[in-house]
Amino acid sequence: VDDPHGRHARRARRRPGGPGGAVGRRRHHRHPLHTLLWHIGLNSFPGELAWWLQRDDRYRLVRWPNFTTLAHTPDHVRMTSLLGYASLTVDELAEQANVAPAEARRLVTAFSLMRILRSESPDVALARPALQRETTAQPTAVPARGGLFRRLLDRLAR
Amino acid sequence: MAEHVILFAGPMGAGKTTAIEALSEVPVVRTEAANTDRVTADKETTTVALDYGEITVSDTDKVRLYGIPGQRRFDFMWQILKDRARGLIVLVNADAVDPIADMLTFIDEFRVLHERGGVVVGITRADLGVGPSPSAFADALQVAHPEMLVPVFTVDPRKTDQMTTVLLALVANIEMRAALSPEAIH
Repeated sequence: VDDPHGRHARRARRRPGGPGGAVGRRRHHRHPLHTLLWHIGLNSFPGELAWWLQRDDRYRLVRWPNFTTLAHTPDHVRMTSLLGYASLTVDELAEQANVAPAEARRLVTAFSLMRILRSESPDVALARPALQRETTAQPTAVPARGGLFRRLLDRLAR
Repeated sequence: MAEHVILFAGPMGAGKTTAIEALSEVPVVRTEAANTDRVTADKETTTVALDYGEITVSDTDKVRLYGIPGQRRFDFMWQILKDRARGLIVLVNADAVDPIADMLTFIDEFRVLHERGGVVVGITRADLGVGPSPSAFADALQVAHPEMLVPVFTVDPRKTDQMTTVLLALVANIEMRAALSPEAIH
């Protein structure tokens, strides 16, 4: 897995029946590979960022994982939601989600393996005219852990 | 008391009533009549006004779960509930004739809820292995609405843990959107 966002990903997208390919009314296979990649991403880089990821790069979600088929925690859901709304470095993600940095690194590594993230290097972002830059809204007011999400979670756990 | 209204929309037979039953702490209020369209969904009855369930979160919060009828002839109920809602769960059954079109119809109809709250798509009966793959639903959404990033999950509406995941993802997105609104940031 030396180029998760490179040629292999583009080739996979062109494959008939794959994402973006022709999909007819036929029996389909579930996506066991995502389950495996999720597990590998969470557990194979003991709290460190995978070597192909950069600490200063910003990451943004391009597709939600199918969480009902993955063993996940509520913090995974919150971090995923954050990455859906803002481009964040791994450290910013950990800070905004109020989780340990290692947890954010594990999630970003897993999503990278699953090819559902896009990355943006800081120098590339700065080289573009300001009007063309993607909004990187900083979630200064991210709901605290005492928000409705947390209260609902506490209630449903009873 | 703060009320958080969540709508369950989707075609007849997608599992909306079942999903609300999986989440509600009270017996679900159902308004059903005999189903005269056994071709679309082979079941005895169907919702004609609404289904209602609730979750009391705290002394000051209640989540109200409304299932709206799937047939367009009852769409007067859609507008009434849309105005009060903060979020939407669209359920579509993968084994329908054209479930992607069903999904896009309801997303378009309730688009305002994405803009002011959040939307999640749940694909039911995906375990039958018939119909488009889950990624085909996400692809179609991305093509039709590239500006929207909507969670798409396969789900068994009978399973409380899966419906809880769907609901929590929706609430996380609603809160995140509110936190990132211009008023919250500036």
